[in-house]
Amino acid sequence: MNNSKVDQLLKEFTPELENTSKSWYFIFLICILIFAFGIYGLVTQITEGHIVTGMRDHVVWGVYIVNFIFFMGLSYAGALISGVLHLFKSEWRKPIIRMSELITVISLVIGPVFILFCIGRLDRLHYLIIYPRIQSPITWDVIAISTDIIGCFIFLYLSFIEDFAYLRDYKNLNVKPWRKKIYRILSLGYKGTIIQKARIKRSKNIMAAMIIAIAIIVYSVLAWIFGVTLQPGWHSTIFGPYFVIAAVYSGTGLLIIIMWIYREIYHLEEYITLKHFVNIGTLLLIVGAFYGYFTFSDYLTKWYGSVKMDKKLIDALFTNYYGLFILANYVGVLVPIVVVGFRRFRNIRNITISAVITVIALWVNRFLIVVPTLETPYIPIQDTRSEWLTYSSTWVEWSLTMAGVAVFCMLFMLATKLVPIVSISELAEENERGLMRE
Amino acid sequence: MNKQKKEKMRNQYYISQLFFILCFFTTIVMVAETEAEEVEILEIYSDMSYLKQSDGNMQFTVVFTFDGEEDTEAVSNVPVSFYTNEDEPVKIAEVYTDMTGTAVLRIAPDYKFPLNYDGYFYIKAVFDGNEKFEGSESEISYIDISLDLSFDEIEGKKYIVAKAYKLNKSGGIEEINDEDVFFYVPRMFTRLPIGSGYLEEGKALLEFPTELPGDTIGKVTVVARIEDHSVFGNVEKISSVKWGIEKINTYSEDHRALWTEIAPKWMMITLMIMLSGVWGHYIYTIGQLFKLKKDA
Repeated sequence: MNNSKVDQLLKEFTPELENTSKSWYFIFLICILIFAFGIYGLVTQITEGHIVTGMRDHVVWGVYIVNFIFFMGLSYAGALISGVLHLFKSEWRKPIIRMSELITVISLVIGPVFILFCIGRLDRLHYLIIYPRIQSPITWDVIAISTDIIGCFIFLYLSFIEDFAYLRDYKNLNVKPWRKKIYRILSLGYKGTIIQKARIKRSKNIMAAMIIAIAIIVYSVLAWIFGVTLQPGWHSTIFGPYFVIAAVYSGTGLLIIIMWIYREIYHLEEYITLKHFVNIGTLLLIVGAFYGYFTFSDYLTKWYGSVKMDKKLIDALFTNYYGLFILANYVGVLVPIVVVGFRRFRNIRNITISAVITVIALWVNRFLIVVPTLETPYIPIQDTRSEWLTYSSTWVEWSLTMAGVAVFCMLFMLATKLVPIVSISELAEENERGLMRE
Repeated sequence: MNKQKKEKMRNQYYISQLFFILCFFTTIVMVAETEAEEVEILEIYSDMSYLKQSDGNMQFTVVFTFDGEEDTEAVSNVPVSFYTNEDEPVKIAEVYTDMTGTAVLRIAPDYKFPLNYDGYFYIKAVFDGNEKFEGSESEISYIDISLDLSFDEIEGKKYIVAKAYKLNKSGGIEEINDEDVFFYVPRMFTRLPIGSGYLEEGKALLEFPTELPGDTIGKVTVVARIEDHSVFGNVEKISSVKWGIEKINTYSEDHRALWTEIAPKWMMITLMIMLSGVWGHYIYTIGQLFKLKKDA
């Protein structure tokens, strides 16, 4: 181990762990206020019932399920990207792999909570464990998500151990004693011996392969919750791969945004360069093209089949949801392709803007998958109030949505106060091999 | 001179621009005011129907609608007055429309409607209009008849028997003949038509279908109806008979769970292989973490 290099990296990155700026506190406070507003919304929903949401007889899934799919998608994308980058040993991955791993775990913690907001009888939630029905995609989902959460935590922890050990041993680290104690406990006595390194490496390789497989399976299972129903717009054989592609697309976009934010705040220009943005941007372009292809293929076959309800659904998408449809499936696909595809547009700012558009477009995409289909039922419920046939989200749903985003930001901020945002062990390994930063 | 000319041209340009802006805003204000003044009172449509229910109640349903921007919309929460006696209308009730624009009036069997010379009763539903909608009214006039429903076995065959009759002026029963009676069995979503009969000598017969599922004791509900008749309106009678096939509910004593026999085996095996593969690796990795601590 090149100790001088590790010391140099620790010297460079530990000030962010030791000192907290006023702006950090300010942003954190804003997140707490948003979170508190979400709690107020949740209390309102619990005391007054689901009537305070926009969900009614027909549209029984709304923004909550959209958020669930969205956050789970971000998580699976993070898992896929970090797993693939790890297994392929790309040198340029090292400054950004931790961000990807954090996206995975934090999104995975937040996503399933939105399901709880959606459930009317939370007192029966434990029935999923007591009376699981193997034929039900909901059971598949419960098994898959819990397996995924544990796998992602193990993978994240494996990548933290060496850094915990470095922080434990770094004498100049000026943090509270309890934090040093945490580093000592969590580093599991890691000393960097050859055997320990081999164990960590082997475990990380195994877990990287596992979380790639699990991510694909879990998001496919989530897609099958929709795909195995006979609802117009959902009953599709390509929904599994389509969901996986959409997940990777949105997660890649979020990774670019977080890369840009931390590059600006922590002044990581030396580590996160244009090359990183172009490489991840190229992934965004490729996945975006696949996403566009899947979307087109799905809607084309439905449109050409002219099944009554499918046709009605597509008509609704091109009339009532015209603007959102264009944003999700045209703007969201074409902007990253143009920005990354043409050299003259290919710079950090433009790639980040296109990533922001991608993330928004993919949230809208999930909304368009969930809501218009439920507004187009095969058997309309008789004697229903006309305003209950359509969905209109309420402030309660938006308060909890914003709270979810705020919690994501808070957990990310807290995590980057516990460990450096750039993996010291990965960079030190790079330097050991003499492969200097690219 | 040239400078003065330029100045003059500039002034003309400004004045013309100002004039244009004034005209533009004046036009907008005028259009807005015109629109504000022309609050259109919407024309509405009403449609009343009548049903003599199985329990003898007479149900009058009137629906008020208007042409919305995209589709027909309901006129909700407006008062509807019901009148009887065509020559000298007498108000008998006031009902507010619901969210679907529907007002329903039910008259108990013991109520005596004034009848005209031919024995027709008369009902008119009136909405007087308000600041948004024009008034509208709808009227109907029918002869009150009754249906009876019974079940007979004739020469080993099972028949549904519907009898239709009315009360004449002297209070005696007068058979109804030469009309169709339709028979239905209510199922989950709608009423299943099982056939029709023709009223002769006051009776309409239909052979009971042999393969009709009933409930657990074979009970089947049968509905007999005279429908959309120009003289009698809609009249129905509902009754039950234990002629259906008994439904046998099979309940498994096992509750549905992963470890019961009803779980599909192929799915269980696939799941077990996948989960054991994944969790095996997890356990191995966690074991490596313990060894890591041991190595220290």
